[in-house]
Amino acid sequence: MRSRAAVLLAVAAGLAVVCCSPPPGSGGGPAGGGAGYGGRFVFPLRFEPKTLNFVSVDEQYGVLVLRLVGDGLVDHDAGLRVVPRLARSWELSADGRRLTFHLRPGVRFHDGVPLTSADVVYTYERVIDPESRALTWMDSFLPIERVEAPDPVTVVVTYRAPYAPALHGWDVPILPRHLYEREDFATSRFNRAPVGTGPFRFESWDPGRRIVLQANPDYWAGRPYLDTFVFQVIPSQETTLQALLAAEVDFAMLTPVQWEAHAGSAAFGRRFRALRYLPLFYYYIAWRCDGSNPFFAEPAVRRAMSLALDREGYVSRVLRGNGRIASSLFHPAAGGADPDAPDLPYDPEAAAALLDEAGWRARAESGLRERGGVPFRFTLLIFSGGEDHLMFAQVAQESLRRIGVEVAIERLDWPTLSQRLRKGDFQAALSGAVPGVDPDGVFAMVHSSQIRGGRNYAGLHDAFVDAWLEEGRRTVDPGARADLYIKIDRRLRELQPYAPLFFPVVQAAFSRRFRAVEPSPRGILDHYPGAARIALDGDGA
Amino acid sequence: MAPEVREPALRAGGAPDGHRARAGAAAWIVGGLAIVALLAPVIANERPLLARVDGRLIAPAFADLPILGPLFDAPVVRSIPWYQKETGRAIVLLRPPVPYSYRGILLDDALLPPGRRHLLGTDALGRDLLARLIHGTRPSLLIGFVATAVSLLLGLFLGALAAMRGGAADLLIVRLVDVVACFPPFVLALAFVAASGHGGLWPVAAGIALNRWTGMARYVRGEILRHRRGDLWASARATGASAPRLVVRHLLPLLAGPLAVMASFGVAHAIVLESSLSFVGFGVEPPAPSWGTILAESRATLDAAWWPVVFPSLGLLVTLGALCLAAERVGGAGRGRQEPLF
Amino acid sequence: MSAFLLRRLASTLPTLVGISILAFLILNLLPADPILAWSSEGHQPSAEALERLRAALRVDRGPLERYRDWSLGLLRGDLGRSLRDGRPVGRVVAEALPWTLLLNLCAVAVIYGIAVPFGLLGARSPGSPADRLGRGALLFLYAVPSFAAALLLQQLFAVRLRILPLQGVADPAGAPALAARALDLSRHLVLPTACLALSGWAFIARYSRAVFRSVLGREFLAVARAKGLSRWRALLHVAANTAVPFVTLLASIIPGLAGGSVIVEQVFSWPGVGRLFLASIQTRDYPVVMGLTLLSAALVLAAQLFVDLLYVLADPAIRGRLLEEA
Repeated sequence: MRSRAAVLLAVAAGLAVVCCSPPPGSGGGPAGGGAGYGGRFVFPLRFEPKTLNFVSVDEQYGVLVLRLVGDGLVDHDAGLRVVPRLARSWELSADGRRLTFHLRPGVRFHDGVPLTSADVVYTYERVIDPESRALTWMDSFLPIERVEAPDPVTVVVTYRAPYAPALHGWDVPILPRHLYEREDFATSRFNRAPVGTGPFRFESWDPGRRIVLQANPDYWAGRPYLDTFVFQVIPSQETTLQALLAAEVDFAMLTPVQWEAHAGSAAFGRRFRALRYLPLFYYYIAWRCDGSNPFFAEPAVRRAMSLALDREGYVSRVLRGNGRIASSLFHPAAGGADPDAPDLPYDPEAAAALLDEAGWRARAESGLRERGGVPFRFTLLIFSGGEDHLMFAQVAQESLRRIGVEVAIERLDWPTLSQRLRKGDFQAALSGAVPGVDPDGVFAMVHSSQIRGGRNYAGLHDAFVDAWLEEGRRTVDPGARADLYIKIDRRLRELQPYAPLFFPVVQAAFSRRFRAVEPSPRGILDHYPGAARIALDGDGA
Repeated sequence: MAPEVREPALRAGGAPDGHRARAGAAAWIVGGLAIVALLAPVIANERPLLARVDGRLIAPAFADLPILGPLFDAPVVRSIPWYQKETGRAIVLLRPPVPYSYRGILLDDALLPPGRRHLLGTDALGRDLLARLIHGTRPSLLIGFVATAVSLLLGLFLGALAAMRGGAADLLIVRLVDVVACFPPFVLALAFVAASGHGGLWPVAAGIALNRWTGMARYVRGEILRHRRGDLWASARATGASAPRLVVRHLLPLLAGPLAVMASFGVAHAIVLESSLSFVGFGVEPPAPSWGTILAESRATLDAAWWPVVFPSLGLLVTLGALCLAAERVGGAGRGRQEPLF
Repeated sequence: MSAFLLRRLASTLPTLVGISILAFLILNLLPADPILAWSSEGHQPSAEALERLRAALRVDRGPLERYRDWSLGLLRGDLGRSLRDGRPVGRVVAEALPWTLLLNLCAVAVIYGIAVPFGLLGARSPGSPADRLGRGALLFLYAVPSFAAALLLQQLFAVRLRILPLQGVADPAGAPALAARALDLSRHLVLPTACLALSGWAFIARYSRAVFRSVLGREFLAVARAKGLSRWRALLHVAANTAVPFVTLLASIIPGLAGGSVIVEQVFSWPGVGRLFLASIQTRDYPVVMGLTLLSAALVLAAQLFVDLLYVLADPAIRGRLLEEA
């Protein structure tokens, strides 16, 4: 069960497709190149979504399905840029507080009822209503003051203060108000049989087995190429690979070891195209640096820790080169990272010297470090559901032991780990993060307002970081904003409240029966037009 | 629930007397495993057994021994390569038979097949599989035997108590057994370990013991109830023997054989169950290797490497086989004592 | 007889109550609240969002209060609704339980079907090749980890030979005719059943060997054979005399039947109880875990009741004792 991380990766895989996309908005429609209509594409899901309610969905896999059934006002393309979807265009007022969307006219839900701005307002209301548990979207809507619908094709969103990342949150699929209004929202039958405006219509859901979608012939951007899209629930990674080889699924992400063992053969190459991308996911270690433990309050010690971790060795030997060292909390595709900053190398000697300087000296007899009688011995919490978590934690443990620091590893399931992280009840923790598509995503991890109960697990409280982050939210001008985040990135590299570890590069196989799509950092499905571009390959079929 | 009908069956494979010798050999295997478990740190270690540093004689590997360890104060961070590098002041006098520890990560040696350097190959992190199996003997046997011993004791005590006291105590215990026995074994162990907050040897052993005692309790209670009606009981009571004494001196030997068979599969089952718990993230805490965690970790590399699956499975097979034979011996012994009485 | 049944039935009630209390205790020992379980490593909402939810959903009620509400609901026949998807727990469980029962019943049939003959052969001629095979080879299969066995079976039969489906419970194409669907389902059952059976053979083979030995050794059989009873008639006598131990064994493996095997269900994408239980524990979906526990326990109790009835039919001596106990 390497559940959650794997989910993310898989999800990411679901999203990224490149290539031959026409300008966003032109949707499907044969674009030549031998592509044809028809066919049935089977995509493996590691976990079954609990609900297909557009706003209550809280697993990445559920989001994957819903992106095909519903449309957001905007979406992200393979390069994570915001592109129009249900909204034809939008503009931001001069003070940066008012965002006006102009909806595409004539869009209909799968039941034939036209979509209007009232549906958008309704979707917003459901997201912020706690009863809907819309944790996936709520954070991007909390800064909103009100949402109005002056006419059926216009939506005006007013923010309490200028909010630079505003657009990103409007990729939430729009709910059909006319259907939900007559039902109890939490238990509505449409939560298991969603109705949207998207390129595919929901057809059936066999619990524990599969979700089947059919092409929407009346899609506003033209019908998608595929007739049928099947999400097949396959909980085991080994079985997913076997299913790929047995042609039961048309796409699969493989582990580095699986890739090495299978992808080299000519037969594999004839049947599958290789897709490779840097997912919107990385691993990090949070050092609780609020003084609650005697180890990590000083930046020099945290830096020493990062220097002592053999990340290169892990990426090259354990991941078989399918990884990239992360040295910033910002994702390369999302912006924010300082392009000139050097990576922290693996340098145990420099780490030992830093620790000596900080007063943590090795005892001659045991070789273990201590300061003022306190041994340097801490517990590293890790998520029990991930393979890489466990493997890298053991590498970290061994790396640190070699410089005289003792680490105990404790594995916890997600609810328990999450609770201890949010309470600050830990010394160090290894976990994974999905950086935002906007650099503001890092706000949650390092702003001091997020220490209590929030996601600033490290407990970092730095006046500069706080001020720049707040300014970054207000600054609408892209150039000035980019400069701010580079300053933040430099400061964070210096402070090292988190040690960013590595991105696990995704290796996926895509059946040659279909024209491949370019992956985005979120995979082959979770971008636009994404799945609408998958088509039977004229030559291969 | 009429558990006494189990008895003939559980009187083991009923080894013919000629097989006694083989059963004896099996007992030696189990004993040997126990010795390996205890002495693991001096059999497989990345530190020397004996070395001279700055003119002083030290025994670094012995520092890892259970209980005796603290007597040997030695630098825990220095492995054999360090001694070899410091040619001027240090010299290795004696290496352990397997010069690797269960935790020594050599990323450059990741997933090496069995060969001269690593006899049984390495795992995904380049750790020596033989060293890990040797060190894994201790947690695996501990979990297997502790879980089984606890369930055996609980089962004996509660089963006997219920049968001897009768009335409310009996009712209560029978209910408790019914309740606990209704939970599927894996589910109960998982829930218990999850509730204790984290994995680790003792929660895992306790979680496993928790669902294995009920079968024993049922069996013991049924047997005692059955024998209570027999002549032995009446005559023993007539001579003034107390109830606990009766149970311990006269009934226990009768139950020994069947319980031994239950216990032998119980040990193997506990080792397997620990592996299942490892799969869902609740095994022994890393880097300590149990056979179960080695198996669980091997799953991720199954496409490229067979050795991390095959060798721990062989360990399990040898242990189970030996335990089964040993149990047959115990069963035979129990019956031997039983026959004159009835 | 019906009085016995009634009393036996009544006595299962306190057991059910005990089961619900134990399940509830275990659940409340689990750290963390369900709201945090709805977040995930990839999606971690802000403190503000979580606060809003917590205030509105009142998930921070005490355990006693929750148990009271839950048991009151139960009295009305309401198992509650899943915290995650808002569906009635009964329906969620009913989707998974039949799949697990089907698979595990098949596994038990195969385990008995192979292990018992081995036990019989072994008991008839100890030390023969069949006996050695029954005791040695089946022990060997016991030691093969189920995930490895599953992978080997899948690679051989589903990927290389392509004669059996790899995973799942039904062909996606979905045959309309009932007979075709049944055939399809039984093809899907083969590999997971085999995988479950591997680890079950060893114990049952040893057990049945011992059972048969105890019967075959008895004088009545020798006398009967000497009097010219045919081999098959003799076998019938053996069967009659070994029925009780096998029924007992069945009673002890029933809880495992309702529990499902997490690993086999995962590897073969079997939509059963094991996976559901694990997922519900991991997301702290208390009502589903409670409902699952209670329903499987009720099933186990019902099955044990049935086993008791079998006893009564199989052995008059036990009948007397059961009546006395009940």
